[in-house]
Amino acid sequence: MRPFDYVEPETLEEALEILAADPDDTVVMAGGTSLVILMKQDLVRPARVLGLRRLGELREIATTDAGLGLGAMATHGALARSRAVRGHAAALAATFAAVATVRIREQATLGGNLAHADPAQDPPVTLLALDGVALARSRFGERRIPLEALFADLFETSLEPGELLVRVDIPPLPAGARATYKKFLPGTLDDYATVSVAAVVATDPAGACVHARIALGGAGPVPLRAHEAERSLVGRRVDDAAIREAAMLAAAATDPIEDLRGSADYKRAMTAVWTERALREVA
Amino acid sequence: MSEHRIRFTLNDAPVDVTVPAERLLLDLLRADLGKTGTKDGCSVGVCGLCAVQVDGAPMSACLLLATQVDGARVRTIEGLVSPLQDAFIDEGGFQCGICTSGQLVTADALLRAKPDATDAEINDWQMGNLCRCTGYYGISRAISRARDAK
Amino acid sequence: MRLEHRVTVDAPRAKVWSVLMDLPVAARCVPGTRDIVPEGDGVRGRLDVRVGPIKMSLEGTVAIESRDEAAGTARLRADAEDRRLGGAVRTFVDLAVSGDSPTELRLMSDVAILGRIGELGQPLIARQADKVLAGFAECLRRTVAAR
Repeated sequence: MRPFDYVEPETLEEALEILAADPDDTVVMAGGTSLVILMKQDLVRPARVLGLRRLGELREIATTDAGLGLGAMATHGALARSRAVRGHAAALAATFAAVATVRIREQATLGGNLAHADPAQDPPVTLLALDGVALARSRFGERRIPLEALFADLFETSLEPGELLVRVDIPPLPAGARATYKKFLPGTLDDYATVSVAAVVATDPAGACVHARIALGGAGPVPLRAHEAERSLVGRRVDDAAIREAAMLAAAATDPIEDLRGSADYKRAMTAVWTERALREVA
Repeated sequence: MSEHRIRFTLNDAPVDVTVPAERLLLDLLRADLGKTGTKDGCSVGVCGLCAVQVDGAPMSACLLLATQVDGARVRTIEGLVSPLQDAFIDEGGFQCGICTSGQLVTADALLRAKPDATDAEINDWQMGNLCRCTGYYGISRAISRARDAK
Repeated sequence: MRLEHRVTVDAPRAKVWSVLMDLPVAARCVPGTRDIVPEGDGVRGRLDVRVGPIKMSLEGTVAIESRDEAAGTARLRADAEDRRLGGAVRTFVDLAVSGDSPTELRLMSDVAILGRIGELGQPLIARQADKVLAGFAECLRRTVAAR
């Protein structure tokens, strides 16, 4: 690997100063699972790598009245095991547990995952369905970014130079809401999803849907919310007909990227299949 | 370009070295510290051959900068003492041996964290350690056997 | 890979054609280009493009391979390489103008990625090539309209 300067600040303030001083030639390293590969292949050649591993404050996972706060440096493994995460939604813990292999989960972080912005990753999909909001800090202040606005394009976030993701906040779920995450893995179990679906549904005592969220992974250049599909469910019973309609609308909202895992048509078709399966679980 | 003094324990013994920023843990272990039991496989963290324990957690040494273990407790196959080793022999858990270090280090991390891991949990945990020889059943049986022996 | 882009320009066909054939001007319309200088019948320059965290710097030339003003068609050829990453891009762009105030411009590009850049994965390359060409078409439209 090419030589570079490595800095490991002790505080977030220090990290933000370093980043602000030279945002173009400084690459941020969280766990390193994606970055080290890119550097080994010589595709990314930073002059400076800013390591966040000493910023313990960014590893915190906490429940407050405002909901659940997930530190950006928390690893997928820690998040999967966290009682606070499981207490908020078993599906969220299951999503973190679905990432890659145990070795990756122990090293890779939530913040690194979000900043990498691969649409086939697991955590963003469920976090989108849970109305997650990212907190970004820079030397100049703080910015709250709803996750739907964080993912700009394939491998691109809307983070400005000098900004670091520090936390993801998740509001409390509506009373009685059910959530699930379904990952379609036709190949190997350690892979990214071919497509994935996170669904959250809450119904009133009469059985009518009062809250619906459907998020899709592997379905476009960014992880998506299927807004039309969600709207189609609200106010009606989540029966077979409603589920089928929502699944079709979800598939219609996709713009899948053709790759080794499947053609655009295949991924679109699978989106419908797996949306249906997800909705049946939370209906 | 930058050099860093790192201090960590390796198999319960202290290590104090200065490394360039770009030194990978895998290369530090194999080339600088003589610990060649950890193998170099796919170089992208998928195959599991380079698995080591960092503060008890399995990680891919090929994806870690040496600086990332400063202050940590690192364990490699050379520092493993476990009923797993006999169990692998008894159950045919290896043939060529290239994946074996990684299999053992990973399984040991599981059994220390979860001594009562179920067979399903064992398979799920070991899923990221690839083997071309055994067909995996011998590995699974060996780990279950070691769990039951504890 | 093949990509197609169309853009409608509110300008006479002759104007659109003349801008297209003025390579130093047309080349500057490719987003991310710098240091464009005439070279022979064409131009030489640099194209900086980013794919996520990966920065590419393609250096090369663009030339007009053939043209038929009466038919409103032409073929451009672009060759560029990124020596740092190791790889090259070769593109043929078939242009066709039709109509007249408004004039429609069609770009049919055949992009070949050679070497390491190609390893980044076709989907990634296709998206970037698509964006660059879309930007080019839009900039051409504005450039012509401004004349």
